[in-house]
Amino acid sequence: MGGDRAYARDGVADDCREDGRGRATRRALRMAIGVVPNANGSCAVTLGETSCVAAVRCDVTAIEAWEASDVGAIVLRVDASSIATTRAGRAAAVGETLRRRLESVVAGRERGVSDASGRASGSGVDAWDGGGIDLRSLCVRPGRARWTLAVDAVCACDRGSMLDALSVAVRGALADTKIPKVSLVGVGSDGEGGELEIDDDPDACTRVDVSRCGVVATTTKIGKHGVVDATDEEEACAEASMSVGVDRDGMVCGEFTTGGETLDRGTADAMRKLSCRVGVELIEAMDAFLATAVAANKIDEDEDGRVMVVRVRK
Amino acid sequence: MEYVSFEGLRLDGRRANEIRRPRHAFAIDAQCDGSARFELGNTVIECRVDGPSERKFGGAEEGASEACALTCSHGRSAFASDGVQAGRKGDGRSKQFESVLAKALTSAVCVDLMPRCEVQVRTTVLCDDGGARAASACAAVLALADAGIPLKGIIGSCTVGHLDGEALIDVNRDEERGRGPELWTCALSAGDVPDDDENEDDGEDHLMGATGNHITVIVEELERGKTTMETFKSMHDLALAGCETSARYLRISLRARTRALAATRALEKF
Repeated sequence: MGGDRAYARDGVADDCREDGRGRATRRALRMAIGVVPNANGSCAVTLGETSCVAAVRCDVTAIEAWEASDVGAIVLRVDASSIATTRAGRAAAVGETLRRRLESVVAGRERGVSDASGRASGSGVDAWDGGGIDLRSLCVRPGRARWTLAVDAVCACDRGSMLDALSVAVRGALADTKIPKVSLVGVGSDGEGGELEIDDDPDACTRVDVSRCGVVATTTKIGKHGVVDATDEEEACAEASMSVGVDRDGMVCGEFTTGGETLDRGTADAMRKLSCRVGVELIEAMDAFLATAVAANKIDEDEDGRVMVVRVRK
Repeated sequence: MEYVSFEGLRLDGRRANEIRRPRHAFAIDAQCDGSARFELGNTVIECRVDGPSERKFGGAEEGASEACALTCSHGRSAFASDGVQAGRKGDGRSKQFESVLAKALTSAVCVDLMPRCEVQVRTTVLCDDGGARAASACAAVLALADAGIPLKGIIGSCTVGHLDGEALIDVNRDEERGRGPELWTCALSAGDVPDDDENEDDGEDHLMGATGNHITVIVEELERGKTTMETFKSMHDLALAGCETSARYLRISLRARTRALAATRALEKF
């Protein structure tokens, strides 16, 4: 392992990594939206060889008495069972770590997102400062009903920078989400009763506004320099890594450091700056793609091979 | 609810003997030895294969054979169907499916060529619109071939339901909810398909023709039993024909994949 580490360190110092990339170059990113037909929104992301799928399902739920009355909810779950066989740690622990980190990026600063059991985590919802998804847009009727977006992310293949790929997938899935138009009708004078009416028109839907939602850019420290989008081999040779959640304007919405070595202030600042820069570039590339992809109607080009005929031989 | 209309059209416009459009992709996961994705209409299944690897003999296994052991693990992703799914660990139905699939695949794999080894097959349902078990079996065959595991033949698989007095092939989720009897079949066919370069334009015969495939092994599961003999016979005939069609599609896709790989390695001029 000593030889590999020295090789990685020398390569990084010369700005030429194992696969020829520079320190600030990420791998090729491939995104596809609408991959899960069942879900309201979905996105499959491949970052180099790391791949994952995220899907969003919308449900109308009743607002409980102790919850804030005018906001919706986002429940995030990460399934890491496919990748946990090769990583240290059980699938549940790995998934939980990823989930907690993604939460802060999706929710923005000082804003809690409820975890799987429905309890709101983090500080009070009144402290929303404009980051993440605006949960107030998910309210159907104040005090009665709200949308709950269940975001499920599945890690398919982990070749480094899983958190980055997951954050892109979650943001893409949320951008692709079509929320049907519902209204609560027939509410009595005391505010009770009433039925949900769903608009049948498939085009009558609202979209989730992800403009303030961030992505995670991870910078890994190898030797004296930080590299962006490390492969799993580079991650194994690294001393420390910093994952920074960045939104479109370059504002930091969350920061996590892992690894054995503590970072001094100068290095930490430099890594944070690099992450922010790469994160903003990533968001710009994503938004350019999403603007065209989300607007386009999905046209099925292969009309001929729709069915295969089976003939029973007597 | 009417599942088959007066003109013979089903809920999604197909006829009783039409399978939804299949799509496939190979090598979707770089970490595993072999992987494939198989889609049947809106049902999307991914399969990952690891092996052959050394088998750990636990305890005294006097009666265990020396041949390769194949283990299957089936899971559903969180967004596979409507409603909240718990995770990978399945219920009894999923365990039953795992053991039946393992039996079916063991009959297709040349287990004698890999003594004291084990092969692990992991199928995941990404999106379930009916026929998930049949699509899982097809995905498993493609993934085994992608992993380079020697196969005696191709397993074709399909699901047949019986609603409104007619045997329907490849039931989708709405038809599954109709609570009629359902027959899931895997059939191993060891025949060979003739070189199909000349027959590209002849759509139907291209996929179905009389090839003389020999079906050597059949594994079936009938749900919601208590069907009459005639009903079962019509379902069974349709199922075998469906398996042949499915196996034929898999063979053609594997051939195309081999040709593409050979071209990239410059073994064949294209």
